[in-house]
Amino acid sequence: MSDWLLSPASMGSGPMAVLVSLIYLFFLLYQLVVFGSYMGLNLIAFSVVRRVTRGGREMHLPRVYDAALPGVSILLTAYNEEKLIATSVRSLLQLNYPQFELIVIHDGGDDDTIGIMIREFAMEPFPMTFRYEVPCAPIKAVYRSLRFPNLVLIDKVNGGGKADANNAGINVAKYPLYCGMDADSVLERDSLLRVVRIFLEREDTIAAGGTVRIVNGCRVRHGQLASIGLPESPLAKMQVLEYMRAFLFGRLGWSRLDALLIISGAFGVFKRDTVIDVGGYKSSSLGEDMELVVRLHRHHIENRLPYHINFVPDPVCWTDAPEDLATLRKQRIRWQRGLLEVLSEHRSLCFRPGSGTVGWVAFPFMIVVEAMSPVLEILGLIFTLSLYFFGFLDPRAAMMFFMATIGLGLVLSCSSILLEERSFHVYPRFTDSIMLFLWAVLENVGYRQLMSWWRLVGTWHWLVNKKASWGVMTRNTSWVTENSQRA
Amino acid sequence: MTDPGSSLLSITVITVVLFAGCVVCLMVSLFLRHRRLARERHARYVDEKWRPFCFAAMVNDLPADLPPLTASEARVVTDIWLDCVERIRGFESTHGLGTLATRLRLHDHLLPKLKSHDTDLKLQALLALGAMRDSRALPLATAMLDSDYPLMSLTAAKALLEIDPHNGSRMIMERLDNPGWPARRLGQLLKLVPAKILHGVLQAAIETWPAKRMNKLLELTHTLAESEFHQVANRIMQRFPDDPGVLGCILTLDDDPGVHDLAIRLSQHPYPALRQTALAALGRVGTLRDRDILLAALNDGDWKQQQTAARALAQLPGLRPDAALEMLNVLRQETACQHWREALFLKGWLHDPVSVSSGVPS
Repeated sequence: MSDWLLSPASMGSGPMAVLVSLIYLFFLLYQLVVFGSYMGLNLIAFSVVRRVTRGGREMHLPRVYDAALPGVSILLTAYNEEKLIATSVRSLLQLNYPQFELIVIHDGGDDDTIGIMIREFAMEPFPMTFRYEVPCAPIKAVYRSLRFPNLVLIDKVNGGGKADANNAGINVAKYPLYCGMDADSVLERDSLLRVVRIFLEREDTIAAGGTVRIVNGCRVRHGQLASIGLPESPLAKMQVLEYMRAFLFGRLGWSRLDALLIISGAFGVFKRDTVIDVGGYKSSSLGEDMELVVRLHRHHIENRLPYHINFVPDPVCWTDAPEDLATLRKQRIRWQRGLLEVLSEHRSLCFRPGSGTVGWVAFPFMIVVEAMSPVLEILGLIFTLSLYFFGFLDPRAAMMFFMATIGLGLVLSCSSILLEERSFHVYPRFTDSIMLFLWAVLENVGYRQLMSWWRLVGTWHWLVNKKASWGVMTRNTSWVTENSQRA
Repeated sequence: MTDPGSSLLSITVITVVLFAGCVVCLMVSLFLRHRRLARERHARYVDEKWRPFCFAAMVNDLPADLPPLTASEARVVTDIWLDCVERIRGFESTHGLGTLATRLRLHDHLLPKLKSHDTDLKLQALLALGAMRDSRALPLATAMLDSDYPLMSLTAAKALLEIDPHNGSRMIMERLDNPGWPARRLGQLLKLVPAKILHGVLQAAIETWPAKRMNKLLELTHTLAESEFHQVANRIMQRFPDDPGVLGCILTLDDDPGVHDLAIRLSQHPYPALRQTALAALGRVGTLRDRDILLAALNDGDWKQQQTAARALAQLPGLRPDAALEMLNVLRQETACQHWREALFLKGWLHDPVSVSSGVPS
């Protein structure tokens, strides 16, 4: 069977050889399943991307709807974000949307975030009455800006994470839609118009996510994206590729299948009432964004309610990516733990009758391809190295096999570069495409294995139920120009 | 058993094919990028060339000779033209822009786009031809009225009303229940229709439509003619005196003191949503004599009702700041106090910085 790869002469032909061959075939088959699934999503994305991207339709929205567009409350979570908060708020206040409020949630940090907000935007305490419709840590005060009537600041006791902060924002929000985002993110001016479009187009839409890109390497001036470029740091460059793959064909493909299980916490729009109905974000969850989306699916499937959760590839949110290994490690461990928590908590959704593509395709995919991949990738690597040391492996064939694996990964990366060119074409220079291609080759040596290792650590932490914490994420603020920083 | 040599060869071939595929992807990307950059350069050139003419048209200062408009420039020019039409209103600028469109024969470029499979092009053409009142766009506008895509159907409605208000208003009223059409926006669009035509269409709807269609009709009428809304509401109330949906809608929209009695009556209604609407209406049309009703509602246990009552109470004409502040002492529930404090703050009557926000469990 796999005797071209293994050296049967050194292994013999007994049960050991058969076992080793079978194990190897299993890993090979797994690789093919992973590649096949991603390729399938890729093809779906290719078939729809031109139809659903940046054609300019959304620019006609204000012409056609005028002020009759639904109001949106933007929830901006800020925990020790004094370096970025003024830039983010200024950026968001300039959004091109007829009716929105910006709610900044100061989640009990110990830096001067709240002071900056009060000074920069003339915030004053406001005796606002609201209901704790979804649970969150106590809100100490609500401020309103004397200068910007649509700017609200919530000062609350730290509730241990973004989920709790978002819940506070939901309680105070007044519009039917809300948009959750991070303080280290910058929205393009028309992002809300583009994402709200889907709520008007599909009546039962309860949530929609948009594309998130890496802001490192870009320039932000006065809260607006002044220039777009690739980051200097190799780690950030590889994350650019990861985000492109995840958003361009991953989420677009799942959305097309009506089985989108993740909406990024950095940018997602939800119907407020529906989220309140399911109890808001789960504060104890490490993957609170995915947990909410899966819970929404489950709630609607269990109660047989009509709904759609969509991905709109256009609305671009630019977010800060970690450029140091320690922060990236923390982030990936947290993501893996969050994923496993969500999958185990909502396991009843898997192969549930009536759950459609969500329960029969997306959920099993998440388990087999996303959750199990670090374990199987690391085991496969250890297994291959052991075979090599015991002399059971034909080095030429092993090298060729390794090259083929790189080739598979590279095909996915290159197809997302092509998809990017076919649709958004965000990066302006020719060299950007070539650089991305080179980094797509390089990420196979070291970076991918490192990611798998960290995700394996995340799996271990989840298995032993290690105490989880969000920790302090080191922000890279080089993309903010001096003007904005001083402000 | 397979031959190891041939298996190795096949995996080598697969690897080479994969790498070749990657290089092809990259080359195609670069080619697409080249084309896109060329397109963007062209768009910038067209913009620089034609925007000054659009601005000149808005002040009726077009030169005697205009350069010919090429097919490749038509899309960008239409966008600039639409932008100018939407942003600057007024007879002079509309007339000037209309003249520019006629002289450029913009419609000749737009009409074929109505049959395009590209939704964006179709939308753009429909919007522009509607603004030019070109009757050749009518067949497509009529066909698109029933499109599943609300943006397209609403654009078609807009174009139809601009080109053929008489038939357009009738067709749009027939489809008023389309959930993708906000009543407020429809009202704005129907303002394009001559009053006489519109009056007839609305009259027929008011006299014949069933109760379940009345809410959107009421919203529409309110947007169209706020000053005449009370008369319309009275007529509809005669037809449906006890329909909670219709009464609620009237109370939400009508600011005429004539609904005061109705608001008083419905403030005791067993249906909470209707009671709440009635309380809100009392804030708009009530007097100080209704203070006790609103205070009683503010002392009620229901959170939403308290909120509405507080806001309504603060709106009552003649309420003095000192009397309003004293009310804090007669409120029995903490949530009622919170709502009232918020209302007082918004009125500018509460200056206590300690009184910051407060939430109650749901």
